[in-house]
Amino acid sequence: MKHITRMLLRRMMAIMARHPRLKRGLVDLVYRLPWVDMRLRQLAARSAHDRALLDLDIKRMPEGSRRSLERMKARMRQ
Amino acid sequence: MKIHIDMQGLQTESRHRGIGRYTRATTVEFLHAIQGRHDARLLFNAALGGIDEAVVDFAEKNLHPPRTLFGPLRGTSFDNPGNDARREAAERVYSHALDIGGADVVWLTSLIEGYKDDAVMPSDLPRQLTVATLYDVIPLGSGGDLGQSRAREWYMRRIDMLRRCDLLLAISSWVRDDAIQRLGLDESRIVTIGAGVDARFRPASEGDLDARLLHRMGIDRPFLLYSGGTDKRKNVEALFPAFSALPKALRDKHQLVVVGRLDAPTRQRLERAARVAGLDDGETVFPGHVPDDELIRLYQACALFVFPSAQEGFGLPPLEAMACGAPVIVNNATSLPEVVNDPSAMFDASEPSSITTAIRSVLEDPNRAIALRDAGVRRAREFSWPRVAARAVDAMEAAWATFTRPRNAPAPNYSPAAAPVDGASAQIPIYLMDDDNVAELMPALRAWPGLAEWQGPFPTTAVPELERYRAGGWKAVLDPYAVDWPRVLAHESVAVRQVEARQDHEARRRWIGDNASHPLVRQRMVEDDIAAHIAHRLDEDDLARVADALDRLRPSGSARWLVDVTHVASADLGTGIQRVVRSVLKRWLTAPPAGIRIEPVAFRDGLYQHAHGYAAALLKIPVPPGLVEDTVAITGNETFIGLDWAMESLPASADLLHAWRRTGVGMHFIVHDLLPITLPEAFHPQTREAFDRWLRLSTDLADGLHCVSRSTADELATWMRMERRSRTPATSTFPLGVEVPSALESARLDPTTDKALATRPSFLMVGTIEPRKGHEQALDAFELLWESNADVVLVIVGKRGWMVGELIQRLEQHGERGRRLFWFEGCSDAALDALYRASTALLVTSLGEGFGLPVVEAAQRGKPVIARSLKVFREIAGDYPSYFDGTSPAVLATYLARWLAERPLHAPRSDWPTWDDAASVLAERIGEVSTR
Repeated sequence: MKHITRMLLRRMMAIMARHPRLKRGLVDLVYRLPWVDMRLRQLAARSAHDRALLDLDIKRMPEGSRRSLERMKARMRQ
Repeated sequence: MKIHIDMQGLQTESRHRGIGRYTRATTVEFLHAIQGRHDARLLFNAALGGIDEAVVDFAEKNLHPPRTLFGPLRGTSFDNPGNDARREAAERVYSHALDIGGADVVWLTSLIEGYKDDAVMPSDLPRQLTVATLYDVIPLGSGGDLGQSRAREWYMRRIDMLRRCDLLLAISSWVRDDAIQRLGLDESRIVTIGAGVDARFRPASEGDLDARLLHRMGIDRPFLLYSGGTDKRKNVEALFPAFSALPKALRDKHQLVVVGRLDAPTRQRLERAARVAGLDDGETVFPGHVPDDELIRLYQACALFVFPSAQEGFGLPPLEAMACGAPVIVNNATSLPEVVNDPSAMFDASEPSSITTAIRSVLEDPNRAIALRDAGVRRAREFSWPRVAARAVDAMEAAWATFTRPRNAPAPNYSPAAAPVDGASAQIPIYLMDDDNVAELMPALRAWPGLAEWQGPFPTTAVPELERYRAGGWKAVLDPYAVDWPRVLAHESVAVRQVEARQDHEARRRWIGDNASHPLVRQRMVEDDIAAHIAHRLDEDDLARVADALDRLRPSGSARWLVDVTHVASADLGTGIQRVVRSVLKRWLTAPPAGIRIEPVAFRDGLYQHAHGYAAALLKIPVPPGLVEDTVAITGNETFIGLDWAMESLPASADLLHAWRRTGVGMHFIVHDLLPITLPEAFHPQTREAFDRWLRLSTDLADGLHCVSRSTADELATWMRMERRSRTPATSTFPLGVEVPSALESARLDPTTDKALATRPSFLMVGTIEPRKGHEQALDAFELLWESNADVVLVIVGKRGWMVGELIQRLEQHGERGRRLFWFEGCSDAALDALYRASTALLVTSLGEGFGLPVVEAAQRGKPVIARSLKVFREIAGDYPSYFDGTSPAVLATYLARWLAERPLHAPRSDWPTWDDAASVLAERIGEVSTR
């Protein structure tokens, strides 16, 4: 499913690249639908970037990072 | 000056464009230019690529500037409104990254990033002298290019930041004039530093031109060349009708080659534009992106370089083409006249016939082509990156001399606390501590860092173990008085001071003002800002990432060596290699190298965690109460040491270690031997494969590979040479040590063994039973000796290994077992010592060794050694052993019989290295590589 979605997205991007007016029109249209715009951009960003290896596992944070998180959460609760 | 340089221009898609080339070249020459005058630190974004390439590139030019890796904080691109909260938090963290470390100057090398990528800009103008490279403000002149309002908002924010910078470094005079006009900038704040061309871009010498390269690209006749971007303003499509309009005879003799990174849709667009202009497939060539060495060949070989770009901030491609001796014609627009400086080499790209006329004038007139070539080469010589860097340094120094903006960090509010705080206040606490409340306040101080005002004398009692570990590592855990209370307090707090009487408000206000720039104070203020304004829009995962990114920017106190104990901590099989790991690590934990904190770490579930349990077990002490095995936080002040032979875990952890490398973590691995490569028949295919993979990964990662003998180092050098590795880490050697337990620690042998060894000559073999160790030859030889009535004993100590099924069966069912043949599969160090002492000699029949620890262990006990004549034994033990050659049992039996008859004497040696020596020499070797 993910593969098909990505393939469709890539094809759509290729068509739009060939037709700048169509692209401009679609972008303007999608821009009026913030939720769709946001989802499509997230999908495009995910397909362009691999997961960073320094990404965090929240369940196993280094002690200093966990303290920083706890401080911010405590401040939010006030 | 301390200068922090943002490197994101080398990380986003810009790295494939002129901005990347410009950032790389100016940074390299800038770093050269300021050496000995100013300090620089490079800031990279961990969410973006290009770090490895940049670090390697700088290292090849002998530049090793300190670097900070920020993040990764992903999903921050401006194009998506759903990223707003993440981006705002990331901008604050990034501002913090630029701010800490005492920078005087912040240089943003490419501000116009972060629309579709995760590049991050500061949330506000840094308090330091802020410098930005200005490539152009072209989009301001053609608003339509900015697209919908989100892109416009992003661009105008960047322009606003540019406007507020203290100094702008313009890449051309045209950019400077344009920016002054469009942004209304004060002329004194913007300096033209120009651009340069690398010395590699030079006219062709004999042998440079490569017909095969042209053939491979589909170029089969003289060609016109374009190189550069393909976005609309580059006007590449204007080339097709212009080329198509050439007289047929001239057109038939030439091809049009368009070089540049092309995604599939862009390639389709250009190919269609060429077809629409009436060009056949063979007339145009689109090789896509080509590496620099090939691009240079194309510049050198082209009949004409045509650059129709409508808008350029500088125009590096025409300059590079001129430097390579290509005749160059360009559009008479924006910065291009400034680069080419020759009115006869220009055309009006808005008139297709003008491009055609300009092309014809060169292709039809060889003399004009020669004149353009000569003029171009002369002009290109006026541009050099060192000159660009020198102008940048001059501009920064001049701006710094007159920089008057207040740079003091705003002092936070404070609240005095004589009881634990709960963080309810945004103020920085000043803990009012004394002997009575210190135990109660320490957890609060750790959770909510602040300043510690201590009244009265500091306690002289021992600090609790957990606090000792935090402040001084394992060495301090072992010694109750290694760290005192002031050191513990200093480790956990922003500042400590001892007072006779409590200070008044004014004194405390001054004190906190004096510490306003402390990284912990700054971090807490950023945390408060994010918590108050952004955190409620972030989910917990995102907030955790922000906290992690923020905390890892904190300068770490002392350098840490992370010693990988993944395998030995999970299963100590008592192998020779694991004995090395235990022995070296134990010494490093008890007596770490000066200024270094040793932390054993283990790779578990995809992350490295502190292996506190293993460290404590090795030191034979309990784990300090409250000490948890948390994930290792990387700040860049670490060195990873693969002391163990992590064949199984390294393939899984290598990607993470590569990521650590990018943050500046040094990488060192110990090479115990290369036997699976040098003696492949003695190992299972899967072991050979696993070893090969381990060696390749280690070589790719390592700054230093440290071998246990010169022989192993030679074999490693041979392997690296034959494999033609792209990276060749530094190699060194260090000796392994031996430690003879005192007689009191030696075990008593069982009566049967004791009697057998006491009444007959006996030979001891120590090592895992595996084909390489030559046990089979030894057993055959002893059978020959027993058949010839020689009354000798063979004692084998070693676990059963691999590919020795038949031999094990022979040993288990042997008629002499328990009489003149003994096999001890499991043997403590004390029992082994007893066997060493009771045996007549050590017998070493190995066909290959990385070191051969038993040889040294026996020699140190004064026992004779009979060893196969291996290079490594001669290296480590010299003339001490009696050496034999040959692999037949009869040869060995004869040699042993003669040895028994002659019993040659050996001069005792007392200079065998101890484990203290081994640990110390290895630490020195690692230190030597790290400081290179």
